[in-house]
Amino acid sequence: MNRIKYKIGVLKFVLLTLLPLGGLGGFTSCVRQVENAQKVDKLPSIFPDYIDVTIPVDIAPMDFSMSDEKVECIDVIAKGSKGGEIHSQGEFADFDIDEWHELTRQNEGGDIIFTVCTYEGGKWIQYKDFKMYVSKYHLDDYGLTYRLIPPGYEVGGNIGIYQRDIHTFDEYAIIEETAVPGQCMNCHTANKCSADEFLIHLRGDKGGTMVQMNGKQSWLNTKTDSTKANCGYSYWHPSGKYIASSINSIHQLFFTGYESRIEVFDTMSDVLVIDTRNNELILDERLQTEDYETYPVFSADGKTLYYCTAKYCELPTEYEKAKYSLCSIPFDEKTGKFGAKVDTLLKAPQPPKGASIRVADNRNSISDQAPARPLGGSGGSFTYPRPSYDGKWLMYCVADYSNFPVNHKESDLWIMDLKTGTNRPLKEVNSNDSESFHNWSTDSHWFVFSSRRRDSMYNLAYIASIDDEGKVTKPFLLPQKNPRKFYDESFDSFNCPDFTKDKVDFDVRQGGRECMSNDRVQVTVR
Amino acid sequence: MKNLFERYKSLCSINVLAALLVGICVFVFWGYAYPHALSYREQYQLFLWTGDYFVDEMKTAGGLAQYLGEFLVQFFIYPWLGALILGIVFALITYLVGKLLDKKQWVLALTIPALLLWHMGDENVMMSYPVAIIIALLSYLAMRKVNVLVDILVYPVMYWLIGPMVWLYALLRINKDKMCFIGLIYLLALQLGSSVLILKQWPMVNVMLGMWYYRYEDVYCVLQIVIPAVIVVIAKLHGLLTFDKKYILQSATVLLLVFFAIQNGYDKEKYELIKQDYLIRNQRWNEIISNAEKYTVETPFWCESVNLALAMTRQLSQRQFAFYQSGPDALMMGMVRDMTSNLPTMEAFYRLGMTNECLRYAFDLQESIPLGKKSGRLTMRIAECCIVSGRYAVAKKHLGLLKKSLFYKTWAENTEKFVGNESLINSHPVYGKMRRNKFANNFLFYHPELAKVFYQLFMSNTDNKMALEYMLGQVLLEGDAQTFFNLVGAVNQFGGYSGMPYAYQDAINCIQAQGHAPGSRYGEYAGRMKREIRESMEMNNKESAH
Repeated sequence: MNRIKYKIGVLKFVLLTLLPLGGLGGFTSCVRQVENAQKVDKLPSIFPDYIDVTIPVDIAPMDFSMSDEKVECIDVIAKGSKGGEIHSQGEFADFDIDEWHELTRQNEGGDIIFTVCTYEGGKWIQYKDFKMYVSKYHLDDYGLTYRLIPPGYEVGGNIGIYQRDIHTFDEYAIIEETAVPGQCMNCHTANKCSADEFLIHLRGDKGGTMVQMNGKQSWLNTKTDSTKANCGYSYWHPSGKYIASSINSIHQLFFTGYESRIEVFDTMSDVLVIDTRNNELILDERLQTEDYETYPVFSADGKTLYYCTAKYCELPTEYEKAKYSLCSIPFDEKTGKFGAKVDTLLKAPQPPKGASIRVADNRNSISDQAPARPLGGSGGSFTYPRPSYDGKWLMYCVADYSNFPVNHKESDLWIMDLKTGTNRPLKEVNSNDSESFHNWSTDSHWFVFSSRRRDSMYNLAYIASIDDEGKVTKPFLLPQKNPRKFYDESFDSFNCPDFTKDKVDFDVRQGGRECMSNDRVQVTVR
Repeated sequence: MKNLFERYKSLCSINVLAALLVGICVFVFWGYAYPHALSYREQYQLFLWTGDYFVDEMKTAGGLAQYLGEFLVQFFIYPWLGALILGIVFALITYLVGKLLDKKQWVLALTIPALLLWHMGDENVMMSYPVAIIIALLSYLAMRKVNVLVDILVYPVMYWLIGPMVWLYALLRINKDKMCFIGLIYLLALQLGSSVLILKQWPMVNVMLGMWYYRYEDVYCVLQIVIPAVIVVIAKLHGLLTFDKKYILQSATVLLLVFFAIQNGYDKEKYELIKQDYLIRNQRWNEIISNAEKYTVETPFWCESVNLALAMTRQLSQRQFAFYQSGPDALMMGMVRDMTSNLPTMEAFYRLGMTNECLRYAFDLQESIPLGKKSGRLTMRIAECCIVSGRYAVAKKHLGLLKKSLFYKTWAENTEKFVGNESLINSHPVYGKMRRNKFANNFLFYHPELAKVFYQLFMSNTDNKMALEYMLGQVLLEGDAQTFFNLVGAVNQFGGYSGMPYAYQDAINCIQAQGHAPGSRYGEYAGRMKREIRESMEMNNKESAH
């Protein structure tokens, strides 16, 4: 008997200890019939702003909430222009995933019309209907990869690289800080959205570059006697035989005023190419000058290397003079050699006085004219070029200065038509805050980018589409189940989002072991 | 009546009395000697009363112990409550270990709280550790008579709830039944299996030794294993000890252990710094100064704390060099990537009105807490800085987080009314002052030129007397006599002092006497700095010669 009492006592203890969990659910639901709804002649104010966005078939359900947190209940009917109807009622619009996918499939190339009613102060209010457009372009990639990192200053915090199935809400860690304690990881860089050809740079006392190809990890030490630092911003040659990289001495300083927080600058940067077959560095003196060269990327056909360059200036004192031009140089995949001509595609305005133009030949340049800046300021710095994989477009960031647009409120996305050389700002996707870190989907009809438009501090991932004529649609925030709760409670930025064709298979335990062993393959200079 | 008496007698068994004694001693120890240590533990976590928080904690092995540990630590915001909780935890462990022994051997049970006291002198030992021990012991006592085959289910569940402390349970369960040994292999296989299948993002060593018993995942303490091992040893071997002859030896051992625990587990200098931080957190400036008068810890952290307290009581211009000054970093340290070193710097920024710098340090301090844990104290500072600098959306986000906690909720709700309300912010005694003290010019903060930064700050608002004192203090720390003499005029014009403050007059005398000013505090400092620079150069020369 005593024994039973004792056990009951133990049970009571456990229950009492767990009592705090009692109120944890916090689930409230509303199940009400929409009756006598009062119609108002305005669109509902919803978060995320999904009104008039264009979505791909089979995207994860576009759940949303009313912006006004006081709304008790929301009733949403989503009706396809080509058929199908689904319904959701609750604290937020929460669509069943299978029903949602079916609805998007049924309405490919058509619209989904949303009728939103809210229950406020004991009565129903019905807002004007709004639409989402279902694109004819499929987004067949598995999902996105990104680095989640608190938008801090000098401390990386609890960072990790993740992948997200964009057709559902499932997110998986590729590598988290726990696997490599004390090391900072830079973003995952894949070869044209490949799930099996990618690299990750790690910083810290166990730093190195992890290159995964055909399921095999190689851990490289990319610093040599002939190069001044480890590899930084990288990009794959479409053949997988080469990786273009910059080597940067990255620093940051912090503003005293309230408007901006951080200025990131390189006191040195060069560009080189790694031959992945023999881990040799290919150097070219034109890419390793006293000026700053960074952000190398290969064209879709692999025959051109684009990169950004700025004239030398005293940094950080002259930080506002760090304006980057966008250049290109031919690259021969067979020989691994650069061509003779360096072209300036976009010349940064106001080069420092007395600086000689290093560009070898401008005659074949697509455009010598920098695009006019829409936001005023002192001119443009063209960085983070990303050519589309179909060879049609080149998307890049334009900020007033600097090579690190993410910290620049004025940073916008621009696009260059590689056939005509014309440039234009992507007004359809730009906001009053920073846009940066863009990447293309495998078929190049979708692109993802980071924007700080929500609160000026946390980068969130947005997706938009582009058609064959270059018409760009209104972007949508990466869908989440209960997005307001998710984004309000998330204290991470989505850095460097990129598409991944398939689910990334990375042996993190092997990665962690090799990282911490500090056993590296030393690259050599060709 | 007789039953009641029997029951009372049972309750008052020697084991209960021993546990009670331990509980009271531990309460007194933490409550009176080390309340600051409890505040320190509390400030590096933010327990949220939400289901998501619970689910997140439960995602890894040992999650329940971690959750319950953090649940308890949230009460440490009131150190007396924290001391009471620790008293209960220690008493419970003593009682439960005592239950493993014969009644006459209660003294043996005291070895465990003594060892635990030693272990918890390390401020990075998490509360999940004693919580896991309690759950393991409770489970063992509850399951003592149950067939070991039940452990097929118990092991995986318990491993997930309390982590590798399940081994304490498993080893206590060992008896002559060979199934017990098969059970141990099964448990090992479970751990390996979870490492391969579930806990892929954790190094194997964490999966085997614990993820949440210590703040840093790549640090392992011997005591972490010794304590459960001793519990198992005394539980299994106590029969070999004959009580009568060993009683004195046992008592002596326990007393010796307690002595060692306090001697070795509680580093005086470390806890002095933790105390300074605790006093800063509670704005007990005069206590900081009176402590500093009695004991010096020769680190920049200590200097910054004392200098901040002096500045807050308007004594910096008088007494700065009456206390040890570590060098040019004695007022403000550069960024150090850990969760503690920059706390006094952050607080100084906050009080000077350097909002962006305070935000930066608060943010990086918070991100330095291992495993992405948040801090109530730092989240408050971040929210305040965001309100002052007009980053309202970010302020709201952080206030939203605090509103889910027990002890920061009210503050967050009261502070939320400032979000976006310019007139309310401007009229607030602290926020308004921070705005009035903001830099007139926007420029890049450069720590090596701290004196110039303070000059800019002071020139932005000459009513900012603290900036004036920090500026002159920094100039003196850097030994820049020329600039000091150029700025002395500002002392007379803006300082509001009745005469030249002692520290400045002393410095003037010392500089005019070219350092030959006997009894000069500043002269002592300048002389020490010269010596240190000379020694450092000699050392460098020797190294380069080798």
